[in-house]
Amino acid sequence: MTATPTTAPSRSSASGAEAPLLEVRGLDVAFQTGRKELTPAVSGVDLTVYPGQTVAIVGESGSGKSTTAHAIIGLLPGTGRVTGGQILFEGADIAQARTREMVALRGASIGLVPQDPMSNLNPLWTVGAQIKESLTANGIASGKAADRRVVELLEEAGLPDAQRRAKQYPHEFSGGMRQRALIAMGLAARPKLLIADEPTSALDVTVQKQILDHLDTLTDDLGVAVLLITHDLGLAAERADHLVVMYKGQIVESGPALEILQDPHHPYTQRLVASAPSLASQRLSSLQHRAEVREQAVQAAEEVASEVAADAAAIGKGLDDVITVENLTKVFKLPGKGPFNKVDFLAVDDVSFSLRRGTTTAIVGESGSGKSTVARMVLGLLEPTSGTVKFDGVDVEDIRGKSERLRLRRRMQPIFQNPYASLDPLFSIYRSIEEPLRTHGIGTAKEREAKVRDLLDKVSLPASVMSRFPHELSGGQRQRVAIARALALDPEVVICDEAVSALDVLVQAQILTLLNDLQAELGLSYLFITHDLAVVRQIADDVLVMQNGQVVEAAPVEQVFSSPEQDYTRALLDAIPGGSIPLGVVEAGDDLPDVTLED
Amino acid sequence: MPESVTRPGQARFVASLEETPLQAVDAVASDVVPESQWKEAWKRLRRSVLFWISAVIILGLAIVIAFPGLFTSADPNYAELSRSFEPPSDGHPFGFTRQGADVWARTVYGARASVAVGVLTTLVVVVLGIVSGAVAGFFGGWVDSLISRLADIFLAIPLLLACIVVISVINNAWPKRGFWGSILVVVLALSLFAWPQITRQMRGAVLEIKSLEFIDAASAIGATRMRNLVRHVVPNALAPVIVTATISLGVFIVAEATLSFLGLGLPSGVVSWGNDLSDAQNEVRSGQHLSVMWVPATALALTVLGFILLGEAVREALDPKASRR
Amino acid sequence: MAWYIARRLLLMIPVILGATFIIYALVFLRPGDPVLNLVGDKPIGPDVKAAIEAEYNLDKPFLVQWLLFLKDALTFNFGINFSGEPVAAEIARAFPVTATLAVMALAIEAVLGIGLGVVAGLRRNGWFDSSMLLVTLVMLAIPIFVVGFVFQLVFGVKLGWADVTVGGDWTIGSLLLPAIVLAIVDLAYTLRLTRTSVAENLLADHVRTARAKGLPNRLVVRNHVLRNSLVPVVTYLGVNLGTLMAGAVVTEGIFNVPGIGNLAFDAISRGENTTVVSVVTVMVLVYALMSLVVDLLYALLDPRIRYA
Repeated sequence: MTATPTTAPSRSSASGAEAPLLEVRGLDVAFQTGRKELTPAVSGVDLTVYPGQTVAIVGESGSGKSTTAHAIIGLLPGTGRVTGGQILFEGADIAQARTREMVALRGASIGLVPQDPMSNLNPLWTVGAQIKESLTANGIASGKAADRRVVELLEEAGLPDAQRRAKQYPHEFSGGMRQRALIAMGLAARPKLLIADEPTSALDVTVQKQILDHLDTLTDDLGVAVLLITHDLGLAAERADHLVVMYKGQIVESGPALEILQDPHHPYTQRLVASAPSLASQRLSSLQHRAEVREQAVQAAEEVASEVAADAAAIGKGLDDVITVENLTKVFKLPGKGPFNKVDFLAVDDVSFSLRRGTTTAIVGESGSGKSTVARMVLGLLEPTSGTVKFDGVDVEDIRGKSERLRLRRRMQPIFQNPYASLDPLFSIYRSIEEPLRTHGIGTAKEREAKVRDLLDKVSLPASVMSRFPHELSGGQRQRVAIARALALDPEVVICDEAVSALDVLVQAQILTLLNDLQAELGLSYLFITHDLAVVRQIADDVLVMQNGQVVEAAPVEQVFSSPEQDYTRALLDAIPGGSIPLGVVEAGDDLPDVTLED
Repeated sequence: MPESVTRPGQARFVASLEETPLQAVDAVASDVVPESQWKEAWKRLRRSVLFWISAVIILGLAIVIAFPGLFTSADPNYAELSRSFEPPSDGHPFGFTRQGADVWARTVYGARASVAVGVLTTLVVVVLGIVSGAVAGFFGGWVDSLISRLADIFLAIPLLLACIVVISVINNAWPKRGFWGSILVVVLALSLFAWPQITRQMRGAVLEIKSLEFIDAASAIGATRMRNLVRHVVPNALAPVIVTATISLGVFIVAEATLSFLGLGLPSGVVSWGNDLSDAQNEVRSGQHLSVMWVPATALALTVLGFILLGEAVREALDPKASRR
Repeated sequence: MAWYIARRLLLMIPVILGATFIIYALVFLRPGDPVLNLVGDKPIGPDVKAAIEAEYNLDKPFLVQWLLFLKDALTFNFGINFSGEPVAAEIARAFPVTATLAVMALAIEAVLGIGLGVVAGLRRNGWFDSSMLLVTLVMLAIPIFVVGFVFQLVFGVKLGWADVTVGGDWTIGSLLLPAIVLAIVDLAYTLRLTRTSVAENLLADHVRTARAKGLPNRLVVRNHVLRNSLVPVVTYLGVNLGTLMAGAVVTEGIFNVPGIGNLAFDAISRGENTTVVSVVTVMVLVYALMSLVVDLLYALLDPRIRYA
């Protein structure tokens, strides 16, 4: 696949005499899966990085981007090995290098900033000692001099109070601080190339921005080339000069970052550009359409309410606001320092909002903002310390009877974040979706089966998945099943707690479209909990921005994006990667390439 | 932002669609034959060498227990002092004990008592452990504190000494108790001090499962706590307990033999490997007539090995990622 | 840290109370007149009987007896045995033997178990690993007393390398063979635990990061694989010292070691309740103490607990 003629080494070319730092040519990587079976993971990858340059590899999970990075530094996991091609570092092929040669190269010439700051530091050693190791191992400094250098490096990585921090253990650091320590570690021996493997994807957006900014300045100052591995096209375009897009182990497109973003040629890149939430700027459906949906939903609810009103036990009132939350507060008691010492932790502080029927209200916040705690209280999975949750005008706390409570539960259903944990692994898909019906004794076995088929159809899954088990489906498919299960009891409100956060970009876009369509079809109201403002723009009507348990801003979505009132909201908006990049040909929204299911 | 000059190796490149065909986003694979996790585990189990070795041993053992007459025509309880230490002869492949009983016949008939103790103790311990561990882990609070402290207390008492005390107490209170009575006493003594291990394990597993989102989803549907516990939590927490239980089955058989060796397991009237080995100690000391020891010892070791191997195979099948822990 | 230790100590109290109560209850549930056990076959008058009952608190309710026993046990006053010797003296004589035996067994188990386990773990699924799996399975499957007899026969009787039995005047050398026998079962567990732990740690993210720093394999294994893997092994070994002492009953019987296991076993068969209860109490205390040591070790090895 050495298709482009320019990949041939031509040191005396027009752009100057500078030689590439890293040249990957026709790289094949495979994992040994059986006695003699090889499963290819990467094939024919070509890649060139010049000194001081930032090159990004973009792709979804399974695209082979991390495998490529690990092959370059010679740390392929498990049975993986390079089966073909060359990796030229400063002109020398290191694809089949001996261990000793790789050890000499690692740290000193090629550094790595790994993905997950939580698991990449040894919990038993101080942070300082771990950074010192890379100084001593590469013969840069030792003893007291190394200790002093460690503090300098930590300061350089933007860690305040470095002297004291160096003596602390990883568990005393926050995620962002750990990532800074890992950056200090990766740059300690002043490598010429730094491989940054999703360096910030585990962090909150505002922290992510700070750290990436810092990494940018640092590598610029030091003249270090960066190979950035990321799933986020916006982030890649913002940080890199040159972009490489990978798909199923192959490169589909590469070139100057802006060019690719504004004029993607390969259909896969076009899909990515169109689906990247940070680049898409519009609500999935138009405002006018939204208003119609809402109108419909209110009417339908009124009809239902008038029918039910004849019933003695009327719960439904068909109010305009389907959920009203007033002064909701949750205090957790945490163990304190000393014996019998409890510390109050105010997780949710006096939160009030309402969810209008047929619309979506998004609660946005970073980790620890209390957004999920609000969701759990609304769902009744957690007792509020004070405040009320009213469902259709009725205080949830006032409902005493068990059957009444069950009726309420049926009208409000959750979809959770982790597609791997939200379905019982021992239940078949059919049983999972049927369970709510069975629990409430709805219908005969035949009727229930018909209902399950109907629900699967609604979430665009073939009926053949009924007999399968969760581990046989992908994350996105499981999330569809979770949606089908949530819809089984014909709820009015669906509470999505980070429902798309764990999914790949294209799948995420697909699920968001599905949620949007279902809302229009069934007149659903969504409470959408997310950390990702970019996603909010695609799905929400109203936005609540939460920070440290409090609502800092509440407004319609357009207003939040066009004229945010609070500094914190502005900081969140600024932190959306690639948000400021003007897009070219493909307008998100009007020409959404086909991201729907094709079978 | 990037400079406009394109450097060698970094020109715009677009792969041809033939070489990088575009697939549907998140398409549902149509060639999947649905399999539950248990079925998958069973499939892996069938491919395991360890499993087949253990299966052969355990099956053989089951046949010996069910039809001992197929393997020997001698009566294990019949002893004639005149035949003391008589060498092997036709129909008596391993000779005779000091008392003049057939070594092979005693070993064949001894399987029943040893395996009965192992199986019954495992059953009692597993039931106790699963129930107490699940309740402690799922409900938490004071129930958890109570069960956990109780488990701590029973773990602090040394197992072997405690069993000796319990059995010696019962020996005084109930001296004549027949075959099943004797088995029952040993089972009781072992279970009394062995349950906390399973309880701790089950509690840990339940705590883990309890925090998963599908449990919350079930509550949101309106399932009661009890329904949640029985239908979702316990079945998902069982895998590690099954492994431990299989391995402890072997361990309990060894424990019974050890107790019998100390004279406090099954009474000497019961034909069991432990008793045979206990009787054999004088012969071993003198180094003479060793078949009196090695025949029951081999039977016992093979049996225990069978169950431990089964446990290992099941562990691998249930948790393929952590292959061979 | 201080609070961590204090909490561990507090949790220990109900365990010690509960465990001694259970053993006390079990022993005194035993039918038969304890006074008759005590005096043997001599006929005694009712006034002598009453005096003995008063001396041994036998005239008081069961719970009071237990509390009085606990009170005395706090000062290591365990009463006297049938032959009139203080039980504390008996224990003081037997305890060092068993402690030495158990420590020797622990040393064997630690050195061999960790050594072989590390090699097996580093070469996971290689031939060495596979043969170690087989060896440990066999070690687990053969009852300890069979191993004891075979070793006694081979190394003691046939080869004459070691004493066949130990007897009253024991030496470290004479305890070597029993220590090896005692170590065998737990050696298998230690080996497997080490192996698993090392193999798991080799795959840890932070180990890959250490390699990426440019550390040579030797240092990666020493600083990042071994130390992390040994945390669970060391804690296992710590608790094991207590179990080894209690489990020495069989080994001590085979090799006639005058240790605490033999003492307990003889006392049980003779019905000397005071001795039985006292020995088990000492065992529980050793167990509790070792659990505490393990907790401290754990905290020492793992900063996440130290600073909790």
